[in-house]
Amino acid sequence: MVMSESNSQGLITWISEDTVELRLGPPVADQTLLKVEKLARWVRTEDPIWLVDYCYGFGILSMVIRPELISIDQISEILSDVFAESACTIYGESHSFFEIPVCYDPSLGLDLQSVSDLIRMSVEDLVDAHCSRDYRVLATGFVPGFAYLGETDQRIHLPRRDVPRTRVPAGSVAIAENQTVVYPKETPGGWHIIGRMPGRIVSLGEHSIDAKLSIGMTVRFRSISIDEFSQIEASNATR
Amino acid sequence: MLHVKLANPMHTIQDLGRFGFASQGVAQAGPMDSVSACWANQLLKNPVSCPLIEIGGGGFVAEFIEDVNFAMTGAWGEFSLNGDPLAGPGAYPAPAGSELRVGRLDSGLFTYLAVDSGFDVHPVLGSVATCQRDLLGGLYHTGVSLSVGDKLNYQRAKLMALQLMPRRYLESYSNPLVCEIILRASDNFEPTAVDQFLHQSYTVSQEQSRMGYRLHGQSNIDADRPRYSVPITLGGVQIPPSGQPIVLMRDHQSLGGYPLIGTVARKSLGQLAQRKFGQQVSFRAVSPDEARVDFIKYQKFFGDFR
Repeated sequence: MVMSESNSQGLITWISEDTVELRLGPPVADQTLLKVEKLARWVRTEDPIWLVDYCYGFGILSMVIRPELISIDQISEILSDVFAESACTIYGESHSFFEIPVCYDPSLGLDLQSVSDLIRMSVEDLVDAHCSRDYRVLATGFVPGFAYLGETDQRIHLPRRDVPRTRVPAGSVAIAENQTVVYPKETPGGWHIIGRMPGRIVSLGEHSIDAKLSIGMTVRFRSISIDEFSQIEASNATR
Repeated sequence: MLHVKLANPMHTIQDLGRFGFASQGVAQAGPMDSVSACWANQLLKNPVSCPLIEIGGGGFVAEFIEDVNFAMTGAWGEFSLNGDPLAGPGAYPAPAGSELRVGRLDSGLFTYLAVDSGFDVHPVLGSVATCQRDLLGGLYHTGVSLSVGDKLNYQRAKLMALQLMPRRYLESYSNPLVCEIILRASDNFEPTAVDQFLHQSYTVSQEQSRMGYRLHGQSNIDADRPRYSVPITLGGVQIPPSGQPIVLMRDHQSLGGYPLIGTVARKSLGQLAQRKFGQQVSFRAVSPDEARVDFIKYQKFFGDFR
């Protein structure tokens, strides 16, 4: 039984001396995200000695391992057991809902007008399309705290900017392709900025990272005024 | 204590790297040439994970305040202790008050400086490795490089006799490099594009950083862009729309939108890191099994290896 299940997960392949890769499923499917949540939970509780690190992105799992301690066949067996775990142990933990307040003022949503022109939709309708649906966290990474949320309303899909910005302000809420993101800190970036959230989406501690968003979570954006934005920023600053 | 008298932004504190946080987007960082870094600790019989200094591009001066033995490996050039030239990679005794000068480099880019028992630096997320991109690690835990006036603590140690690194392990970074690469099965490349990639030679471009090295080849490699970003592996070779490869180094991002043609074998990656602008590089395909045998040998030799 274990073998047939592992086959259904696809083939694990070596991509370097100490790294294996495996396709978990379609990037936006619930089943795929559930596997990642199960894996994350298992790594947290078991902390297996043969696993050095792992990274998941859009259907693909990459694992840095200690090749002297384990074979691909053993990994395959372990993973099929992890993925076969009942889903109810997962729900209620990370399957939580997270609301992000966003100010869609043009002074903060630097590309609001240009996106509105590009997709031929009023700014009001664009904002409405962005904050009137629930998103799932499809991937995390790029930089700490960066989460890829999807899928956005088809009417607001557009390619990334031709020329990436050299500086995107921290907290910027942006869209591109079929996804939306929040920039955890100031970085260069090629997504279209349509708003900004007050406060921080991630904080780095000495021993751990406190990221508000993790894979599989449900996220919704709530539109706030520029005054509310300033108030929340001010109250964060004095805390 | 080591008192820094001259430094540049390529001088950083490193250890083997920061592991366990890639899924949250944290770079693993660690030494650009991990073979040389592991040797520096090995020469002093330190655990392989002891904090050391990566000196990129030479131009480093420091004073040893207490007696200690230090090891230097990797890129080499005009190096001296109290004005006496250092004979080559090896472990040297430094009596209190000695001044170490790392001048112009003749070969390579990254020199490693270790001391008995390592420098005493507080880890963040399990590692002292400096990552400027993530603002993590280093002396102040914020990803900043070393600067003039910095003081790094170490334990005073009994001075030992000079011990040079065994000759058979010495590397030259001046000759053209053949990088061993583990190719990927990928839908993004036609077989002819992979052949073309393997059969031409490249030069290292000026765009080289701890995140990645851009190479320049005569012809461009064709690739389809994947619809979604994919996880990136240390040593991964991306082919961006320009058709000119980027080899991903220690501070690489965790996910990337360009297709990956393969992964540079770890022993070649350190050798590539040591190559400067204009030096020649080509690729030779090896099987993952072949590469893994070499990798496990390094792990056994050093106690650990990444």
